[in-house]
Amino acid sequence: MRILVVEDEQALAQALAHGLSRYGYSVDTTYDGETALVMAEVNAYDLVLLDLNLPKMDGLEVCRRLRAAGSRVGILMLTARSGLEERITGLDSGADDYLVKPFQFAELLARVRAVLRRDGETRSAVLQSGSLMLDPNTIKVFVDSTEIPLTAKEFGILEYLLRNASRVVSHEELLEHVWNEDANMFTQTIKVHINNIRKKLAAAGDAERIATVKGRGYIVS
Amino acid sequence: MEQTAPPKTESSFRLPIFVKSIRFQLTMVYSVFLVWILIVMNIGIYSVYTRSLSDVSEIRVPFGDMVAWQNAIQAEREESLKKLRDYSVLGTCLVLVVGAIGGYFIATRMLRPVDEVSSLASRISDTNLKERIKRSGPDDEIKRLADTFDGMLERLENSFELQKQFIQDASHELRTPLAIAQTNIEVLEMEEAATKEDYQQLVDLLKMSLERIKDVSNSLLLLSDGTALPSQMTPVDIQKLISEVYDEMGLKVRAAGLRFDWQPHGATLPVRGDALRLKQVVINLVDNAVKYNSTGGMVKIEALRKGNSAIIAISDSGIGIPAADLPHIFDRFFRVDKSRSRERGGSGLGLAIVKKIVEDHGGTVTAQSPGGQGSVFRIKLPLWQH
Repeated sequence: MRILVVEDEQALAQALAHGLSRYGYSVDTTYDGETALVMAEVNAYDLVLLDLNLPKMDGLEVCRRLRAAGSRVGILMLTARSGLEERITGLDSGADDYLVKPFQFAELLARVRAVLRRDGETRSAVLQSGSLMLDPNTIKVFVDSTEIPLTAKEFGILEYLLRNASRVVSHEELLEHVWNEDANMFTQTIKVHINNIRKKLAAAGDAERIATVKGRGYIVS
Repeated sequence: MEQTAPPKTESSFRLPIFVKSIRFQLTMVYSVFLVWILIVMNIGIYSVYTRSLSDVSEIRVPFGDMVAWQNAIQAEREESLKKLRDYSVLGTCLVLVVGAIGGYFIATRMLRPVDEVSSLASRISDTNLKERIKRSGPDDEIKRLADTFDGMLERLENSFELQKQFIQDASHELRTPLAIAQTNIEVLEMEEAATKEDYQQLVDLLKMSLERIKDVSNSLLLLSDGTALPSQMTPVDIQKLISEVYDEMGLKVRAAGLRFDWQPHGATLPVRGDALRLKQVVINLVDNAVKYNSTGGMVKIEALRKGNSAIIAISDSGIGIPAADLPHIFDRFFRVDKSRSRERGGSGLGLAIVKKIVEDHGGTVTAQSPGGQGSVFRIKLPLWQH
């Protein structure tokens, strides 16, 4: 799952990016509203963490413009403004949720997961396919009761595939949703990662979970 | 020495409290007025009537018993005069009763708008300051009362609103560094392989956050301090004060790649005040001049005497202030750049503090930004008169 962190306090933005990437999210960071809008239009984010006080264009405006352009990306507003009117304006401008600073990182993670669930095929907190179970809350993967040790990227790929379990996911889509802007990736890298996941799953007795659809991508079955 | 008044005896007669009410007084005035008119009228009628009757003895009767006639007429006249007197007294009493009752109702009716105003006023509390009485109709006493009340509400509402905004801004200003501290601590806690450098970095960040919280809370304290100045107002030489600031800030100004201009003057410029706070004013302004400047620019301080005032002018070659923002720059938490870009720091209270300190010293501060190129802050303080 790919997240854009828009926060002009750099010390906070970096901590958020660092913390979120530990939970398997690929994170891009930007410090002003205009750049945020461009990035959100160009890249396929699953969620935008949006501060309200931003240079060049404030968070509310970024949110309104994203929605006006038809974007369905999840938006979680982060702000030190806690007034009722401000929370209402925030949500009414198109945000999915609103979190007041300072917040507990665990709560931020829970809200991120909740917003991400909204657009998925399942509203369940734990993603499941047959004997395979992925828990985004604890970033752990099990086949039956065996825990599968996955790297952050492998976890990200599997999570994205499971969230879109009913359809074929292309290489490009995986690249867009699992890697951030800094990565210069090729489809070959995805194949390597998919192979690694398959091997690890096979070792736990679940060999056929990820199927390749020739010329189109992958599907969990 | 004054003589203490003898204590009032409890037995002394006291009017019941309702006698003092406007309603009762209106009723009384109304009925007394009516009765008084009636009495005057009755006396008038009575005297005109008696005078119009000629003496009975002058009546000439053509025939019969003259004395019997005269007696009969006399008796009849006395009878009718008595009737007139009786009816007058009765009528007056009746008018007094009816007038009192009527007066009471009329007074109630006249006082109804006052009642309306007061019941509306009691509905309006601090949580509901938006309501207004908005009385229409003629410009009478009641309307003026209602209008005065509305005006007072307007001012109250504005000041509540300002207060609320101030508290919100202040809490925002405190929450941001708290969020930075909390998130960084929690993220580092998740790191199993945190190194000593990671912790050092966190400590630096926490120090920075604490510094910001301290700045904001100190500024808030300074701004909310009603009794602005400490008792000891001493003579302060502006020239000496500026030369101190020049020495202390010199390094910072030059480190930013700026020229720092200050020509010490021979003559002293004594003002009466608090040296530390006045120094804070100059430091804040020089600090701003540095923040909103770029390498190769300059910061200049001038101090001179003008009539009975000392003038301090601090000018810079920085980015200037947009004309539309000039009237607001001394407002608390006002920022020209709404995003409070952090490279420049600041809580948005610096200039508000400058204004408060200068005004506490009986002075004024103004800002100019000619053509949006650089800015000049001019402080005017009354010179100390020996």
